[in-house]
Amino acid sequence: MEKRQRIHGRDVVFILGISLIGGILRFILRNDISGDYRAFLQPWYETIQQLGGKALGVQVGDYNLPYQTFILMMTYLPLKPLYAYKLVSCIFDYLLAVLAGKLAGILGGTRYGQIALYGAVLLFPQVWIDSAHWAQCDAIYTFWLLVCVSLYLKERYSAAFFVLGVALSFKLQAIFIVPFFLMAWLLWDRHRFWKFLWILPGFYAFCVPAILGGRKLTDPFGIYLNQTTEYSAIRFNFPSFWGMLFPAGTHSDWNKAAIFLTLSVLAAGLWRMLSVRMEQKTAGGMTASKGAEPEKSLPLGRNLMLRLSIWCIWTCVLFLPNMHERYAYSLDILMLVFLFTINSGEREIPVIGICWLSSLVCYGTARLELPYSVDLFRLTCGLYFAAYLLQSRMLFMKQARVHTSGAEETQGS
Amino acid sequence: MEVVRMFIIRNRKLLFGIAIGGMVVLSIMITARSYPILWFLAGSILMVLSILWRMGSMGSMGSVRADWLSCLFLGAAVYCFPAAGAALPFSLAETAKKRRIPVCGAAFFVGLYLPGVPQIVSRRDFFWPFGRILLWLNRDNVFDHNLSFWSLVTGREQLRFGMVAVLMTLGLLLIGWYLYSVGQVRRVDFLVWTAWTCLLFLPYGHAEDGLALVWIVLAADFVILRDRRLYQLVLFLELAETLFMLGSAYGGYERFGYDFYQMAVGLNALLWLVFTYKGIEHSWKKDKESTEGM
Repeated sequence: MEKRQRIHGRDVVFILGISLIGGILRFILRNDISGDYRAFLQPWYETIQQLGGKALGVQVGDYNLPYQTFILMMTYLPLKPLYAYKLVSCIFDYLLAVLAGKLAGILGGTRYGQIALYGAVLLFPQVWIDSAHWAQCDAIYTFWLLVCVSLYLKERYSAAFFVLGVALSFKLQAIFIVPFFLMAWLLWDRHRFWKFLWILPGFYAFCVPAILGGRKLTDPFGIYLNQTTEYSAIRFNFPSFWGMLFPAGTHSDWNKAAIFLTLSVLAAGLWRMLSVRMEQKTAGGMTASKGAEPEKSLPLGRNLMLRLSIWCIWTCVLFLPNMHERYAYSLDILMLVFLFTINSGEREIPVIGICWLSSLVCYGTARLELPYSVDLFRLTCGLYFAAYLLQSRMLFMKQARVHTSGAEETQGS
Repeated sequence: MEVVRMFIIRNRKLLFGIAIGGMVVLSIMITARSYPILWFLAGSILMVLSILWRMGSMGSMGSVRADWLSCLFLGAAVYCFPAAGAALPFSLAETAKKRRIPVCGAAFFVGLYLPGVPQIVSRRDFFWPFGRILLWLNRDNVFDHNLSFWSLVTGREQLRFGMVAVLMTLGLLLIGWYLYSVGQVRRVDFLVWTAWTCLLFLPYGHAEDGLALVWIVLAADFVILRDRRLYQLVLFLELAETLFMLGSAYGGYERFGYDFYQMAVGLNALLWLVFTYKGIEHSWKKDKESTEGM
């Protein structure tokens, strides 16, 4: 049972101070209008406002039903549309920060680390640029993803998959973590396969108002299918693997190859982990033959789980087509949690740093008028890919070997 | 006599800088109780560079001691070279910890006014030292030839990010202060980290700001017990990058290589992150010895 840790006066002062600073920082950016807001969010808001309650019965924009329901609720707020969008996203920034701290606790982080992480998430540039400058809603689905990962690490699988469904219903990018759950199930067999079916009720939970408003049950899927074909290019403003080869917004004919490559890389990762698992079983059998009781299920370190989930998301955003600059949002946040929970991770810090800076530069070039040359962007893509390779090596060579030898990291395992 | 008077007036900053520099090097050596000749030579070379560009940065090292004398030096340093204010958060945290804020605060303001006395006597405004600092800040651009994190986020003309940058710095310092106050970060790490954070994240910087950090890291390097390699890497990189910035800003290079500049900033930010991690790593390792760095 986890020991409840006491909060001290200094902690309260810090939490209040950092929350206030994070709030003022967001308040300063309240009037920033992004291209996305002007072209999409504002017209959606106006249409939904005109339609009122009937808006749930028709598709407005290309976001899924839960967010459309959120927009309808925003129209009842006594706020300008811009502020309403930003307010909702910023509230989720704070919730995300709290959840990140909680997750760090589950992973074995200290109380100080958890509290500091709360502040770090609030100040993390990608977080406040996305919500306060851009009025985007990536904090919402990432919040649910963190809830999902926390529940999963606590071995509450049904609840975890239900929440994963909720995350998926808000944004399709939540799907990047699904390979991790499949891999974890195949590798460690900690729960029954049917528990995955909890994703479905979760997926529909926030769609209920819209379905009652007249939408079909298949609509939430239809919206995502439409999204995958609506913008078609090998990459957009993201430092993906394809950024080294092709300019943004081109070469959609490569999309299928990109999907195939992504699946292949994920399969290779799975194969590597499976071979490690086989070695584990062999080692377990040898121990059993010597008279010791064989373990039914060898423990999987929570830290290794986090590493693997990071790797799965990274693989998806790196190799899949159609990637926009903010699609690595959940990856960046999970890496932040990782930073505050790993021990002796000096070699991984440059990798994390390159990942964050590359992603930040893309935010800047896409929305903040950052002058950035094409050559430098290609170099950034190269560095991003190199960082991914290093992370893969550390996961599959070093960590997997550590895990096989039974000397799993003590923290969080 | 007139010639001597003119020389003193014209070169008062230089003379004051040499005086501060000498005092600080002496104070650091006495504090560290060590006299490594190699580092003394390196320090001398850096001091010459510092004098060439800005004098006051040397005084920023005085904050290590957090007593009235060091705060006096720090005040004077901030007057001569406002980037030396990067040492202010550490000094503030230390004086607060030792409950010396009234004495040290007063000493700081006396130090801030002392070099400005000739100007005030020559009918300058009483608030001249503050006005001078405000004048010094480059508020036409969020960053300008300095190693600024914001050059990886936005264009230099995006002035609305000035306040965002200040808040972000305050927030980061608050996180650092929190971990430091609960005894999870070593003193020496905190000193270097706060200065670095200020110089990397604060807006309206100048090319020569990095020298302040070079001096602080050099000071820290005298007394560091472990992670010496990291400190020396930081020192080397900061010096190299600052010289590169100075060359670009004042050295007569006609075309500013923006790509190279952004790469330098990226490298700097990356090293800052490594340094931050090394600092907070002590949050997980409850090693009592490691929190007693200096």
